[in-house]
Amino acid sequence: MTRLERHSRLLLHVYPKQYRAERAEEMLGTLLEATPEERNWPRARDARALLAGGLRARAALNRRLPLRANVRTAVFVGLAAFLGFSAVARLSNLYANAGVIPGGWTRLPSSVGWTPILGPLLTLVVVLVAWFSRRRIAVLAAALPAAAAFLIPLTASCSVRLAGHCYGYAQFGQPVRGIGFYESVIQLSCMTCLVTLAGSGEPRRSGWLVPLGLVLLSPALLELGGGVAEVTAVLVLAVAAVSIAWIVVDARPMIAVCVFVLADWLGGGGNLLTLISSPAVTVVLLPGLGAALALAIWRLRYQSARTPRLRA
Amino acid sequence: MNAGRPDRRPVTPMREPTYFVLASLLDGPLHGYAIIKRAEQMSGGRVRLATGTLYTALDRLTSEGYVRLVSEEIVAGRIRRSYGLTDDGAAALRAEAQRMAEAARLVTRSARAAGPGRVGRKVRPA
Repeated sequence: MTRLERHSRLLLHVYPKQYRAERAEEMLGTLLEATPEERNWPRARDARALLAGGLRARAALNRRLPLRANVRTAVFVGLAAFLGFSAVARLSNLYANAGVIPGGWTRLPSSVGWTPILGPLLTLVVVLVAWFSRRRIAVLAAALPAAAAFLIPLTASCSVRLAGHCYGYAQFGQPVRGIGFYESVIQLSCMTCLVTLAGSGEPRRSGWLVPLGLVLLSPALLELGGGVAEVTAVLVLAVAAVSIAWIVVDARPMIAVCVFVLADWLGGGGNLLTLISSPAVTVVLLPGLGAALALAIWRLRYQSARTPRLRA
Repeated sequence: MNAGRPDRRPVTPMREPTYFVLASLLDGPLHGYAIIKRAEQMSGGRVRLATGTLYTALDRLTSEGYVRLVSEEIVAGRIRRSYGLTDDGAAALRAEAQRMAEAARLVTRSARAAGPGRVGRKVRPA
């Protein structure tokens, strides 16, 4: 294989997988014939045209589904990202603070001391099952124990300490940071929505896994990396920035980011938004999210298949 | 030729690469690289189609029914497909050529009526 062919193949990866399976060899043949043999890379205008054509082909993938199915997929990804992010954040926090006893926190009865670990672990299982399974009943079966793992410590801690936030968890007898009341309610609501949306919309494409993986990795970096909050913030903000730029091709990632930020904010901003929390951020957050969502859905309308309207 | 079918002539002007892709197929089916060369030759070297542009145009024209896949063969271990003009594609191409000819006639007619001095006259800068 010549260097020109290798580089041309690399450029063709801009096209979606299904398109490449059908067209890549034919396009490669044409590209190699049209490019002088002594070159190592295709000409700049060929590279530009491949980039534009690949992005157009990716945008065309959405046009096979109506707007509603595309919105469902975007909301599903946003919820999966939020639940996964929160679970990894809590597990990392438990690991990082093992053995530390913060002042004023309530110790849980030892009988339910294992639940803070089980809750996030089971949440991760729910996210994985919802992502890969096409059967809603399987997702529901995974979600029920996870919901129980949230409700048991919540009830136990509320019975111990009725006023204020219902903190109070124990890891092997040691109190560590757990989950608050509002956060629990939001987590359970998001899990319910995830179960409802599971098995609908389009198949979960592998392309989603890269940004999702980066988002899930970021809280682990924050807790275990030792003072790398900026790195975490930059990582999450980079995913958000690329999603905003990607709106030209596909508006769904931007909707997913809006759902993620909204869920995180409603849950008390315990994770991401503490990094950028200030009164000004809170004031502009909701109108900003609303505007971003409206823009993304408006754009997605043109990227989705048009459904025939029934006339009255 | 088009009897019983709705008129599929384009309502908006064709883009130049699309026009020359269709025009290159007038003499018979061609494969990708041959379309690029033929379009360049027909346009006097002005239209040099990039590979990405060609296949984006072919995808669109195939879905619109203007171009169809005629044959597939394996050349040097790679698939090579040849594309041909459909009846609708030929009609759309003729309609576009007619539209451009009418547009050109408007200008040449008014230029002729205005006399030879008006056309190509140098304009003094203000």
